[in-house]
Amino acid sequence: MTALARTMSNPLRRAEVLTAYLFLSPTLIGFVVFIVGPVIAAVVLSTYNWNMINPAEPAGLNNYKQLLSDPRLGSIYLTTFKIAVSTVLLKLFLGLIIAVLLDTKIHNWLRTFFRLSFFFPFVVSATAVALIWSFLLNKDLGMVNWFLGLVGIQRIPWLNSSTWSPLAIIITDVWKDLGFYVVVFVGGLQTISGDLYEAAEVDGSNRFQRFLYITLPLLTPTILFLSVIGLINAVQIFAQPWVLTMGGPGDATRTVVMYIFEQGFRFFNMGYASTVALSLFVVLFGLTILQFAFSRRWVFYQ
Amino acid sequence: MHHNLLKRSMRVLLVAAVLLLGVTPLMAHQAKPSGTINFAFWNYGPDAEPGWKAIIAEFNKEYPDITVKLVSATGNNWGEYLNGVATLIAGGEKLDLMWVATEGVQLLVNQLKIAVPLDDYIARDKAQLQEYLDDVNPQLLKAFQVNGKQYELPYSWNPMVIYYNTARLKEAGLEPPKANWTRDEFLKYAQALTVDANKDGTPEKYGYAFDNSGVFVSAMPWIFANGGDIVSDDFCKPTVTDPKVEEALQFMHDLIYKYKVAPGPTPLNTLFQSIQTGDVAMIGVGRWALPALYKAKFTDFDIINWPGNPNQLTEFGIDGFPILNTSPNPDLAWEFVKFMTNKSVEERLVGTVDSPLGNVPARKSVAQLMSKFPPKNGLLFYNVLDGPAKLVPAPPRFNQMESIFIRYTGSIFADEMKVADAMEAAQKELESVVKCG
Amino acid sequence: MSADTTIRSAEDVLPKVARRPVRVHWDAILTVILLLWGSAIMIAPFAWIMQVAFSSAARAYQMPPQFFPSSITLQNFANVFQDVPYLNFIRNSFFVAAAITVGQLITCPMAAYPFARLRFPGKNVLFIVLLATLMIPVQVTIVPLFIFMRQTGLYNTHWSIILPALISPFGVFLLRQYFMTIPTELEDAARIDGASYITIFWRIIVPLSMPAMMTLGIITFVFWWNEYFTPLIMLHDPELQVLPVGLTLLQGRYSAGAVGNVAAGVTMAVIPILIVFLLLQRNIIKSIASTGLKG
Repeated sequence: MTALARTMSNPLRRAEVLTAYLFLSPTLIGFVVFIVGPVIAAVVLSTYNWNMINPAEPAGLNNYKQLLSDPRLGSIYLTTFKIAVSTVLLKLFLGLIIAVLLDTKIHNWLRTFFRLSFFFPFVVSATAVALIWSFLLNKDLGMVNWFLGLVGIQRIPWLNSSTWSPLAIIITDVWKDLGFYVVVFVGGLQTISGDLYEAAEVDGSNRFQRFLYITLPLLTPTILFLSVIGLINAVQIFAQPWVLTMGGPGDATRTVVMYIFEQGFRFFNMGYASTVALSLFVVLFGLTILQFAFSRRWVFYQ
Repeated sequence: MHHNLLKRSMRVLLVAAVLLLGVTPLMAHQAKPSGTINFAFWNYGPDAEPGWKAIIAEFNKEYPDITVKLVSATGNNWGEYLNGVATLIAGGEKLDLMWVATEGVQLLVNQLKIAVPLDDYIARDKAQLQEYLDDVNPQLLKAFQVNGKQYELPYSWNPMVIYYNTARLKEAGLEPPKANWTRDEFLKYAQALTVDANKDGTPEKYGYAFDNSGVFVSAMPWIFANGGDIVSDDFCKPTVTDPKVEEALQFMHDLIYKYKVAPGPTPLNTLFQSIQTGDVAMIGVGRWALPALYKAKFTDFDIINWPGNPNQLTEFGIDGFPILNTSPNPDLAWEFVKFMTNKSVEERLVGTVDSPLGNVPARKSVAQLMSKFPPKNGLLFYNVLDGPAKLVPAPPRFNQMESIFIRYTGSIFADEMKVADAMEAAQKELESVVKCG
Repeated sequence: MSADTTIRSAEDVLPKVARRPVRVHWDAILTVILLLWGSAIMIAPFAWIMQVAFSSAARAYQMPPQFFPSSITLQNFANVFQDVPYLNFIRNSFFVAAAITVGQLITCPMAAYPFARLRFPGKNVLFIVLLATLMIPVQVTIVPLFIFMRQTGLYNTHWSIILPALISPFGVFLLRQYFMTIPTELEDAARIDGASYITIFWRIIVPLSMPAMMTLGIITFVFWWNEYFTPLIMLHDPELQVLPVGLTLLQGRYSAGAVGNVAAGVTMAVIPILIVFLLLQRNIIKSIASTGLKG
């Protein structure tokens, strides 16, 4: 008898299996209808040309050929990852520093105030944040350039320059999400036993050494968690470039998801849009696997 | 109204004739106009929906049994709105009518092939429509003809003109510009109106500013002033490498970087503020800027024709209501289209004391009423048609053409690409989008 | 009394709290200064946008930047309600976010329970597949979903957004991790007493998981309240739109929406979140903090 047959012949085990699938059924149904189905449909769609109004024409692998020879897509992917990696690194770096700062002995109400003020932008919608920053980053009228002017820096065309606009997007995105990273790091810091620090202090270490040799290694699981979900989210940001620069100038701030939106819902190349979307999935999947594979080298589990 | 009576008797005769001839079974249903029509409109902002609801209320006074269902689509410009409607149609919406501008005509007629020619309807109701046809400038009517067929009846339109802040001109000791001014004179004005009091290299107040979010509002007026165009007249190929086009773009670039009379491309909503505060002395826009200025009770401005280089050529865009072939009730839709040619309807365009709608009415007689509102030179909005005027270029794949073109002009105005390089690259990309057959 | 209890100094007797540090803690002061700068950068944009919302349009871009309006006007707010169906936006956002949150709080614990506690064939494979879907960008599924919604007539209704979001692999993952930390003694005792799996789930697991359920609820609600992309595609009527998309509608035709109006719209979008946030912040932050620990 196979293991499965043995399981199903035992009434207790049978009840367990049936119960399991009963509980799983809503999620499974939704999963098949709204995730698996559309993914398969996207693959099928990528082999057609369809503008939604006229009937779809089979296109074989043409969309994939177009994908590989698309002159814009290479630089769009580069831009996307330039921005995504920068935002994640900045959020990790600043988030950790601020979390450590918050861990020092300051008044509780001060700590709460800081925690709140850092975390608040995270719960505001990305659109509202982008709208606010589009005013702040206005070249002639915005606050940022006014402050820069106070220290003698010439006005920067934040929203209209391929050098500065990606930076504008990065600033806006980091500003918005930083609080989340701070809070997660604060939580992570609290799991580190104070005994370790006391022992190190007794051994004569200074604050920086304690950070480097105790805090950082013990936080590596948290850092992995944040960098994996951070990268997946950062690659998909839409509202910030959409509101701030509409992808411009040229393609300087055009992310892959904006390109998919443009192809699918502005130009109605549904087949090609699906193709590009699938390529994004493959890339994200690969990157995540890579991150986990490399994580064995630097992540320290207690 | 006697029109009503005429319509009714004509209808009965028509039905009788058709029954006798036994031609189209559809016509037999038209004993009394009743039914529902779905009308898609551009919901661009505040006054859009209430405005249409009011018009429909008036329509229902004449045709109480025709229900007009409003279907809204949003967008920041005509191109995006068109996308929205195309999505609606793709979404299965059975539209009878839509409000559509020049940008969509070729798309609907030649690419999607869903617009119904109106010539037969016009011929049938000629007596009723003659007064309207005489009241509309022929350039406007021609704007909606494709391959000799009339697809829409003009309802409202906009020319691009220059708005200037009169207080700033006075401050600079300048006389108001003349109607036939040239581009060189415009530049002199812009330079005189740019103020850099603390001499730090960045002006506090600019002479001119423009938006680059759409072809209509940004480069086309300057390209037309040069006598160029970005596509050939038959819409079969792009012409952006034409020296006239490149020179116009170079001029716009130089306004920012060489003469320093303009800031980089700025969104129109900011410009509507800037002209009020005087931060920018001149902007280019159509009549649709009026609601914002009127609401703010701003009157220190006036308008003048777009400068020529040296010959003037005003850019304009026009809108109306095509009947779609997905319509189950084209005849009902036609009733609405005719209704929209009425004087009373167009008068709403000119505005009421509470809210001037903003577009220029197609009928000349109604357009005269614009003088009731600022600016002083308001009648110019219609009278530009006395001189040469050209439609915004709108090949079938307009939104793709526009998207490609403004991507490249964006790079030019960010001083990151030379005009020649940008237009060469643009031409290549445009060739796959602007073509025939 | 033994000799060990002799009192050597006042410090032995005074409670610890009363003892004051003798040296000045420079690192604490430096820390506070740095954090103050950081907080200022976080708060300033909000203060500014609210100032613009309450000021007259002409003063919107006044420099040096003002953070308090010198004269308050409510005109911009009035304009917003005139320009766009703002109340609809709020109502729609609330409805969509609430419906999805309730749905997920039902389907996710139900799905997490078997993964945490039951044995069944395909368990590991299914779990990995479920996790893998977290990596699927929404753009892959949105095009076929759009077509699906159009063909079932759900396009341009709120259900086109709600239905696909009623399940959440992320929620299943989160709750499964939490369930696995619940000690099994209670369940073992209940099993001995003859309780069914369903009873155990409903009477033991769920009540004990309230912190995690709250976390999931808050994260889900906030996420869908702020979602822009999906409603942008699935909804057409402004009356049906949600707040983030509605805010961009304030920008208007050829970007003709006035700065003050946009500022007022944004302010009204932010203030309710601020209030809810201040009320629930302890829970929210604790939840997020514990999320990272299980990572």
